[in-house]
Amino acid sequence: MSINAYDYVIIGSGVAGSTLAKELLEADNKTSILMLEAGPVVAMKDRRFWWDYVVSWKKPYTQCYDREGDNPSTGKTYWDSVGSRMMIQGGSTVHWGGWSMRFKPEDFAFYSKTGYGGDWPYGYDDLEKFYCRADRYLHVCGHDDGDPWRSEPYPMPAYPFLEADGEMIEAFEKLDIKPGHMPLARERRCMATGTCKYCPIGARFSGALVIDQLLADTRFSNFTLMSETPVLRLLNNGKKKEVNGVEYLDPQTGVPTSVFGERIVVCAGAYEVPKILKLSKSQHWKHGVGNDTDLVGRYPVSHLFLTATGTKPKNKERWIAEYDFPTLMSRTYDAPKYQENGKIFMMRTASTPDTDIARLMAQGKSRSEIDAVLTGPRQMQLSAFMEEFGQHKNYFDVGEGTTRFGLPRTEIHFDKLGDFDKRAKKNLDRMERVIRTMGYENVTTAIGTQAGHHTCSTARMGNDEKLGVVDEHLKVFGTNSVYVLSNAVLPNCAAVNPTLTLVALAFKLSDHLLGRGA
Amino acid sequence: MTTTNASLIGGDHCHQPLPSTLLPADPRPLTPEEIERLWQIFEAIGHAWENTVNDSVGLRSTWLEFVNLRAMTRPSYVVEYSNAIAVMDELFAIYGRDDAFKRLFFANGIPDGPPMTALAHAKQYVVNEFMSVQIASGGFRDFVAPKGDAQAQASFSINHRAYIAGSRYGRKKPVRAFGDDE
Repeated sequence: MSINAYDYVIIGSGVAGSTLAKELLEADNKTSILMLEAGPVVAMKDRRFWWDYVVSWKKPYTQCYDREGDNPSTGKTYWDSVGSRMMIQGGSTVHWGGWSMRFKPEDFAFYSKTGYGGDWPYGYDDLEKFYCRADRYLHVCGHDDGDPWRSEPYPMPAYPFLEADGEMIEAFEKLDIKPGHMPLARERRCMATGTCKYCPIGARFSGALVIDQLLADTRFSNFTLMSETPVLRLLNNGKKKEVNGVEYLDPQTGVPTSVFGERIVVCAGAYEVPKILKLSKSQHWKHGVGNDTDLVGRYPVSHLFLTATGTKPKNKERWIAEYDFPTLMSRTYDAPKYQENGKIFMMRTASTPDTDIARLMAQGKSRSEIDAVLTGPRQMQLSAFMEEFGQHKNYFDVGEGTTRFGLPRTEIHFDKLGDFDKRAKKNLDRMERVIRTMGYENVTTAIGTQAGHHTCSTARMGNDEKLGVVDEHLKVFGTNSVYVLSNAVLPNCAAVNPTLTLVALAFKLSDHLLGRGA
Repeated sequence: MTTTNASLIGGDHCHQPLPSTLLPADPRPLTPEEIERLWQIFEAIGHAWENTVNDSVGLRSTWLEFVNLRAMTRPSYVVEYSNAIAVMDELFAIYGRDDAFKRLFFANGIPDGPPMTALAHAKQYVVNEFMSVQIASGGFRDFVAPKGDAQAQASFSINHRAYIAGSRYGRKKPVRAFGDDE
């Protein structure tokens, strides 16, 4: 092995890259892996950071988000990227809520059922065993209600419903909506601080913790992480199929530097993956690696956030936010018969009702004034993710200039489907009915700004290169050494957070790379 | 009584102009005397809002971790803490101890916006943060727990963001749970 040649070069240190690296290293401790991360390292489990968060709710990783202007929106629909993804060791799992839902069987045949987006090359049943591994790896706490089917129980019991969930559970039942426990990635050692955005003991899964463990493990002496190291492009080694080099910006010298790997795995998220592929032009790849059929960057989708909010005149139970995450959800409208309209995944908003007692004290409010606020009007909110339908005309492309991370800006061209608001209204009406059935008044509904929290599909899987950028094993069509492990490969975004599905894909890919199974 | 419409309290030290940002300092351990002076502020918060028992002693270890980390890691608060002690000295001298705390908490006359005086620094960087620590470490319970029913209070489970509620696998759920659901 030469000094700049590795078994694997992994681009990105988020949940995808960290999970894959761990699997490869556990299988063969001496596997040489270079992991390149554009963002910095921010300490996890730091008590000072935690207290800073408690007293000010400021997170120690705020500087790792996109800023206004980093990803110019050029379509008719404004796409907001600020606060949705992170450039940091551990990627977006540093800030995620740990919500860990599986896609449902109908999600794997999205194009066949809706005429939009894409179909997966395989079905839920094929991925189910990998979902089980993902559940165990992330320590998912949940309650099996049979939908979708699972071959193993959740590895950890669900968090209890809160008393403040009760009104909504009763309304759900009246409306024939099935209540469910939110599946969450929380380890047994959780101290229930309710500060999961910065956990003082690392009980919520984060890719950053996995990387820390890999770096500290003396068995894995050939594992190297380079942070603050943006990747510029992939390098073609003469023959078209042989794309086994990576050019990055050296963080010490600022000089473009090349490194080589037997296999390159791009785990850089749905924004960066298409740009890296498109920037990797050569005589064989005139439009970028894997882009002969102009699919790289197309079909971007995310989730629109829907809300229904109501008020009651009194909060006699003095309910406050006890956790920083929802405990009550429902997948009733995340079912095949709603797919044509756009399925939704509903949850009771954890921050309603709540009273910031310390803030009122800081404002000089007396005990009786604070008691009056605590027992005064109570707000309750039902939220939902609504799935979007991928369209070829939408795309992510390389924008002009670079961000402060040294990454090219992303041009985001996105037009919401013309009938989206009409379809969203049907879902909002369902949500409004819940809030009214709970006896709340002054009910308002809203569709949130198009944002990038769960962006998918920008280098999607397909059965051939006319349908996708990567094959069922996540290898880029036309190459023999480049893989993509990212939400970018999902042919659709379903109605739920995609992280658990991405982790399942990491296990599936690691088995493939290690020659395990069929 | 609220902070609005009150005239600015304190004297020359309190009114001393300062930049709004945290006062620069090298980390160092707090002296025992500084800790006790700062503890008086924390204790007074519990008295003023009547939400803690036994002079807040049950919250002292949590509070100690907080102030020690703030003093000994960057950015260090030791100069802010020294300033707060000097502010309290002046307020005690002018109003007497009890009235000084009452004015500081409820009628200080500090204008809204970034803290531009020694008094405003003491309020924002010390007093307000102590309030957050007090509520998060257990002070919230008295605001939320059932009133006038000792038995209900004793068996009352409630969580709050940043409260170390203990393992969620304990016999007693750390939250107000709905029904018997697990």
